[in-house]
Amino acid sequence: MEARGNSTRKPATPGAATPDAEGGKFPMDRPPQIDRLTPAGRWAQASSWALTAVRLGLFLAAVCGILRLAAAEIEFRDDTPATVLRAASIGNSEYRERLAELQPEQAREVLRQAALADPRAASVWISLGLLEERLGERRLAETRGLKKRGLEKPSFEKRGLEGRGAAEPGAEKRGGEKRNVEKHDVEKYDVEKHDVEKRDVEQIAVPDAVAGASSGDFGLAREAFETAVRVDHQYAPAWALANFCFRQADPECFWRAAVRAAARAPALADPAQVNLTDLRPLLDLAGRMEPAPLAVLDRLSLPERNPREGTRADTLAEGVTAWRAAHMEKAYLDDLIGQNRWEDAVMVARRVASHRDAANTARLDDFVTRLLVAGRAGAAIDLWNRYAGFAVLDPARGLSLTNGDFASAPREAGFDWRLGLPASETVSASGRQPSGGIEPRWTPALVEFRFPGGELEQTELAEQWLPLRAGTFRLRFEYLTRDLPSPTGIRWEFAGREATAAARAEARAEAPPFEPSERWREAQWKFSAASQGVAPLRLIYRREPGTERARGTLLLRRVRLEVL
Amino acid sequence: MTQASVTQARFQAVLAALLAANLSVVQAASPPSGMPVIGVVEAQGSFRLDQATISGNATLFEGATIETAAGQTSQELRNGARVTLLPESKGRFYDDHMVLERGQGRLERGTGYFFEARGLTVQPETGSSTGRISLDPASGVQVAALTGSLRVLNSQRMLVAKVLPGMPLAFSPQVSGGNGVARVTGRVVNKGGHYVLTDETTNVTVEITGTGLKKEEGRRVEASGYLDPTATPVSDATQVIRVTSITRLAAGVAPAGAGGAAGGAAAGAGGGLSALVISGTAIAIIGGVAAAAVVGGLAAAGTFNGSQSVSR
Repeated sequence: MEARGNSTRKPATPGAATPDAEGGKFPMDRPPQIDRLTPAGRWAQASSWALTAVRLGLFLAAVCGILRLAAAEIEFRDDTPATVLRAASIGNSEYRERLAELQPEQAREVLRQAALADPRAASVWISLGLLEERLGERRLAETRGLKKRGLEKPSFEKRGLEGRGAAEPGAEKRGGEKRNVEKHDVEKYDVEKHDVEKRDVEQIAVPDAVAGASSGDFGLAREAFETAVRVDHQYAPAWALANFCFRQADPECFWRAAVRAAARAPALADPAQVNLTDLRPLLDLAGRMEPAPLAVLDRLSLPERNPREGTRADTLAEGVTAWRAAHMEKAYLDDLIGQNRWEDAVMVARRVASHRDAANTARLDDFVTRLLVAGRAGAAIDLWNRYAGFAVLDPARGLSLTNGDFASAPREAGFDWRLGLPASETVSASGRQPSGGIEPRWTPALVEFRFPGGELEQTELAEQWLPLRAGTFRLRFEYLTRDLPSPTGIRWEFAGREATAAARAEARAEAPPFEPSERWREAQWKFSAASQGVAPLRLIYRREPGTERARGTLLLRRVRLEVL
Repeated sequence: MTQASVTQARFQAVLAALLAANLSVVQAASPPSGMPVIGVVEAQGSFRLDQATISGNATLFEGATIETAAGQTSQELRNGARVTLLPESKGRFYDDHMVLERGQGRLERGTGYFFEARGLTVQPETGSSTGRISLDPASGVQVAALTGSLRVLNSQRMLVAKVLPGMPLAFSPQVSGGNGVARVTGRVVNKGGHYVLTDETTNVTVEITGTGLKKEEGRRVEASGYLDPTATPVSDATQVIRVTSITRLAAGVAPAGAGGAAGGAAAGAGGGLSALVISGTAIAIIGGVAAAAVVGGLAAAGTFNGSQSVSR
């Protein structure tokens, strides 16, 4: 190895070769003389070697570590208690969690070791919490058994008869096996009873040892869940804690955790990939804790929108934006609709409607349609008037028709026109071909129906649900036909919403078919509603006897409804 | 009574009071009223709970549907039972049973808990029994007991099989009860003037009635006939079969209808079990359910077809 800098040269002796003063080169006839190292130079050389050795050692250690990890991973993948135990010896919390699953009898100890080894592993704390809760449940069941039996040892004869199978013929023949079960259960009972008693005494002696000590293992479970929340600020620990608190019927704890979970819901983590369905479990849980739907949303939404929550909740709910709150409302609306909780859904829908966000229109339209089909006309009208953007519907004042001038594109939902499937089939997704093959087309101020000649013999062209009071009405409209023969087979129909088929048939009113008209023609039709309510007005096509299926075009505009 | 015993008695009294008080505290801390919490579902990865994706764990409510993908879920129920839903499975959970809709489920500590699958009920014979139930679109319901034994009941709650460890069975419920057709194989035993037979496949004991049974006493036979739902079976038997055909078998020899031959009867009556290997194994029809042993555990595959019908 070449010596570096800090060497000193011997004093030049006569005749000794020295580098050329200018070029720094040795004379060609003599070999260069290597200088001896000074102490400083030797130190530098030793340091260099040591550094290299350290590097080599680190490299080897890293290689060993990688090999060990790889071996552990291979062992872990075998997924047997023995191999996972060996894998877990490297301290990986995931391996230890799996080991706890594979060795349920040692699960508690394994998880505690894992928690000690990696206190920041929230999943370990959650697993520990679930385990403690489970033990608590068993202990509770045992305690109930003790109380029921008056602290007597259980009668396993009786227990054996409690099972469903015991009533089956042949159950009494299982004497040998039953005796084994009895022996095992009695031994287990003795151990567990002692354990229960010991724990109870300890709890009483040290009531502040753990939070909620009165519920025994549940207190330890709570500590584990709360630790998970402390070490990991993501969704999973908060969700786990919220569930635990729900099961423990602890509203304060639940809402604290639920607000935290709502603020970190992965379903809303990426604005580009919002998944409202995945919010439903949290909302469902909150809804079970708090029956009032708006209170649920208040608690889970923005702190500033609900100052009653106080500063603690404000802090926990930090990060929950108005955007998140709005999505929460939509998700809850979907959830409530899915549960057929109509009144609650209406309340949430009103709040959604209050935002006047065009992005909510389709969802609200769908809900109004569902309300109509479900016969909840009042709620449907009220909600529609809040967001739809059309003239207010008020059947008492004769305001019953929507978008009669076709100024905007039919929404195919709610109280607006449907130029295809009727409302009932929109909701049920029957898969039927819209308009029976007739192609409706909207352009501002009118709609056009093209009859290809191959359409169904009878089909709906347009439908609108009218909220009407009882009385007589005049429907005025303008139309134009092209190439349609007489009779066209096109007519208006008003179908009642009476309860029985006979009553509906009696209430059903049908206009005479349109006369062909190559120029715009104003027409009118009178019909009556026997009772107050919402019923569909339909423009239908029905092939007249003795005619071929229509081939041509119908244009329709300026539809108005007057009360007579 | 010694001082120690007095102290102990007092301690026990205090302990009882404390336990009662503790119980009342815990009972008060139950979930909101009317909330049917039945347990907790846990998973290492994610799963679907009522169509929503959940990662980790969740509270399990009455009637919840759980669907697994690549991972499995473990349902710890409050009644002590533990149900594991294996990958690519789906089940609906209730307080006392689970309806398996797809895939496989495993039941542990299931005293009083049972599985339902395609009209069949599978329940542990004892609380310590552990079993696995699998649904296969082609072969029907497969049941394996891992520890203890499992009882399989038909839709009328009639016992159709006892599944023992290491002897998994496949079941195919028959359409409209298979017109009461029954087929059993076993040794005829005279029990107080009544003839009973324990089917070798299903381990179910039935009483058989008909002519010519006396000469078959003590012999191993294959008996076919019809279930008599109005008759009361003799003790130990679960049902009465009116025999229309009986075939004497040599000890250790599979019945003529075994495997492919009997499969026709089963398939004809039950319309299923087509993917099972039953070669050399009897197929029983009891309580409107065709049952056959599964070769190689639940991974068996093969044929269950044939043209021979049950002789009458």
